[in-house]
Amino acid sequence: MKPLNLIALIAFLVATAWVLTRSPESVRGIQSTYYTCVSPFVSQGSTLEQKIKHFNDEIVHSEELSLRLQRSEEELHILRTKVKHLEKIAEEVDSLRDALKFPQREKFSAVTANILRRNPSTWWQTAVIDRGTDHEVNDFQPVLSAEGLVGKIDIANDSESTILFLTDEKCQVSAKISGTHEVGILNGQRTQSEDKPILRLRFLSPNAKIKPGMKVFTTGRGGLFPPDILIGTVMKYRSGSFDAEATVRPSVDFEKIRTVFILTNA
Amino acid sequence: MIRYNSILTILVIFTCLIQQFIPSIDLLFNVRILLVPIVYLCASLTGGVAMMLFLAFIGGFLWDCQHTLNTQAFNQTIYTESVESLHFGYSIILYALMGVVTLGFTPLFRSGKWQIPTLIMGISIYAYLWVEFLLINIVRGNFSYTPETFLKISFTALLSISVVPFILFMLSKIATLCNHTIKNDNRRRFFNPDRI
Repeated sequence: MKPLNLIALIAFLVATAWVLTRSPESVRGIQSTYYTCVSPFVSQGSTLEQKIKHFNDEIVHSEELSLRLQRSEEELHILRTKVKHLEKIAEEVDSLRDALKFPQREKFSAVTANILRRNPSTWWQTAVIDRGTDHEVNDFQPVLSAEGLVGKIDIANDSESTILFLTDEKCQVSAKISGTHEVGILNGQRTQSEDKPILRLRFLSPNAKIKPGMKVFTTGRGGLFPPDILIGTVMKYRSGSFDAEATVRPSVDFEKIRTVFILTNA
Repeated sequence: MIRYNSILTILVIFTCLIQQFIPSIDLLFNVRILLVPIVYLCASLTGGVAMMLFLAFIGGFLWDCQHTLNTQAFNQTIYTESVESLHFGYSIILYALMGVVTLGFTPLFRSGKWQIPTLIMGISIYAYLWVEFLLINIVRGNFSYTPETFLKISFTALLSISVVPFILFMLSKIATLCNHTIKNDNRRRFFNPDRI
């Protein structure tokens, strides 16, 4: 072996050993620096991708889009009226609470974010959003959509963050089945596609009366996800000798989701 | 040579930025072109052992910066089973292994036959993804395999090698500009009858 190659091999082994022995905090710092450098390119890449998609959509469905816009504007008008009405009710409820000295619920605080990139990695079910620590988004905060639970923040950087979807095996949620006392741990499955994802709800009682169609909600245990957020619907229930497992179809359409909400005070 | 190697290093780093612009294809199981590994393999083919190891470190390090998941921070009394992920830095080793395989085909590339090294790069990417998949199964337990996995790995490898000829062409142009030789002139070097 040439001396230069030998030196290169030794340097490579030493450097690799150094990287492999980094602590999670240290890795987090390295990743944060990396994302700070890369984030302008992620935004630009996403903008470009969306422009191409919108251009194609406009060519193919311009009439359909104008109809949808009209319908959306009508819907927006109705929703605005409803929100005004609800705000009045909320004020009334607050004044009544004050009068009764009833303990007030914590205010719901959420940050809206758009999905910039989907599936940036081969194996993990993740997405990049356009909100980060600059917008009060932090690691492990719950992510929701209008349909239900989406996942959690995996890594929050300055202006962007990575979401770990509920469909990923690593995203675990303490869940309960409505209408029963059953509580279990729910998580996604390895190497499943986003079009028809299935979740597994494990550690249920073997004799539980669970039927397909029952709703699954978060329990709030574990201090990560707030309680009573819709996760999905039971599809199948399989009983074993010691425990049982249910397969759950998520309420969120992960393929179509574009906007999410991050609970910043959960 | 120093100029050429410096350009290779910049190219691998620059590819990490270009990778951000490559979308996943929804219709093909969300596969995407793995540009960083491909550019690294092409650079390894033309750069030599020391350069291959250096680029394996740079490429693998940047790849893991992008793809390593955060550690779990859960209440252990409720979430009793922790789901492990691949350790930060594992890609450096996998990159180096791919580089060693590709480097073995450098003589073929030098003699002008780029097709076989291209095929080997495709096989390397295919093997790399399978190793990654097996490692995930080992650290998390419960081996689970679906036909989608096979298709996803196959399509990723196929899509990735489709860009190899362009990258090799670009590297040969860069080498010419840097007055660096990455190909032989098809003459035998060890036996020259004119010298007898």
